[in-house]
Amino acid sequence: MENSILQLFPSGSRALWQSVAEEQASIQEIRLRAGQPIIIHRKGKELFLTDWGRLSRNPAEGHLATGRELSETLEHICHYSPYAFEEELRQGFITVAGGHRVGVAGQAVLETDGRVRTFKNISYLNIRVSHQMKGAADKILPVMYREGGLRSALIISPPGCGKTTLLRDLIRQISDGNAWGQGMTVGVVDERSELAGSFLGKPQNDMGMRTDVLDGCPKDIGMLLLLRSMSPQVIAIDELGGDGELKALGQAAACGCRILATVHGEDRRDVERRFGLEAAYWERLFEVFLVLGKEDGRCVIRQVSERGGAYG
Amino acid sequence: MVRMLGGCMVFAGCLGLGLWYRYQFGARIKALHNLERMLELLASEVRYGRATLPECCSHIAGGLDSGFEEAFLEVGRRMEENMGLSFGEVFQEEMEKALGRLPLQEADRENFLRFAARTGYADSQMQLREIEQSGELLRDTRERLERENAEKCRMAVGLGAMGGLLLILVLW
Repeated sequence: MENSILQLFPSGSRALWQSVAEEQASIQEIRLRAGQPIIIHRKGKELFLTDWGRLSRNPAEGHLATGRELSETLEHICHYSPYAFEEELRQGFITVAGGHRVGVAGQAVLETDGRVRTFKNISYLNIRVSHQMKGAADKILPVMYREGGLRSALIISPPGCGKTTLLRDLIRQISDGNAWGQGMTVGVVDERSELAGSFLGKPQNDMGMRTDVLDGCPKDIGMLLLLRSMSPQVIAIDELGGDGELKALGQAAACGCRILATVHGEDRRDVERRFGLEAAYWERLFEVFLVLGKEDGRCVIRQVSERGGAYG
Repeated sequence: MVRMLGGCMVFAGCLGLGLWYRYQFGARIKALHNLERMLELLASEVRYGRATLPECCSHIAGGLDSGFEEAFLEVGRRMEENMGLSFGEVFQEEMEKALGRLPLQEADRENFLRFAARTGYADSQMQLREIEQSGELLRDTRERLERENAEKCRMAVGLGAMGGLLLILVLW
């Protein structure tokens, strides 16, 4: 994955991006807007890419991205076949080799029923650089196991507190096996390609040796599909949403699968309120509840509670 | 006796030349037919597999003649290697090596490579249309050649034989 962002650009503009690629480890985001300077977010600071491929703090020195550069970059990202990414473009982002996510915006082309069909005149690209954090789940592994057996867990977190990163590493460590338990077969339903970062069906992140990823499939359908086809011991999903997903989770749990899931929320009470389901319902599905949050700007595990335990 | 033998050899040589031309007319038609088939396979991959163009090349390579099998596999491999070249550039480079071995004219090659320079459609129907247009141009050429071919073949063999006889008469 080293220097993989260089691969996002066609040969004609690689010289410009060389220094950015060399600093890939510290770069979070690259923003290209037609007619505007290219902005690089590095270590929480905003920098501008100059015409000579250097990073500057002065916006006046920034290289102005042209519409042509943007369309050539997008075409290159799509392997000169944007039609093959029709569904992804409709959702407004493409996950590319290396697990990076490229958001697109421009002029929306609508279907007769008002749904977005595709985008034309794409004038904005936002490249979110992927950084897999191996070891992110080290601290929570001891509570995930009891007597060598994995326990189902729900990770509750507000946006931007690292729940996907935590779940990804948890999946990898459970799949490969760790000090607390043997490796298990994990089925992942990755509806938005965020967990595995799959590109053309191949996971770009290390998901572990016993993990099967169902990419781009709605979670409720995907869970049942995996149950039938891959016999997972553990099912993992990111961002639990509708009733259908809860129902599918219930079926997976009834089949004896362990469940790992994340959900947006401040804490357990917030989740119970939003879904309109009481604590007993959640405790039938999950044994461990992890609440994430931020302290002094850092992502931390704020609370760990267990089935039947207090969590107020 | 020697003169007789020489005359026969001149006649056989001229007739052979006529037959070779006849074979060449047929070979171009066969080559055009093969190119059409490759474009049809590519179109099927785009239509039903929604695969990217480099992936399509790798998928269809298996069922092709050896020269094109290697060329299509190489396109897939080089695009996966991602040295920053466009699909059009890589496809043209690799295909020209394979096309150079076939009895085709420049226009045939251009028609076959035409679609590779026109990529970037967000709608698969548009990309399909480009591939199909390349195929249609090749088919038009092939059908015209097939219509003209019978006459041309007869003429090539006839001219070969007549030319041979004329040469014998002149040299006798």
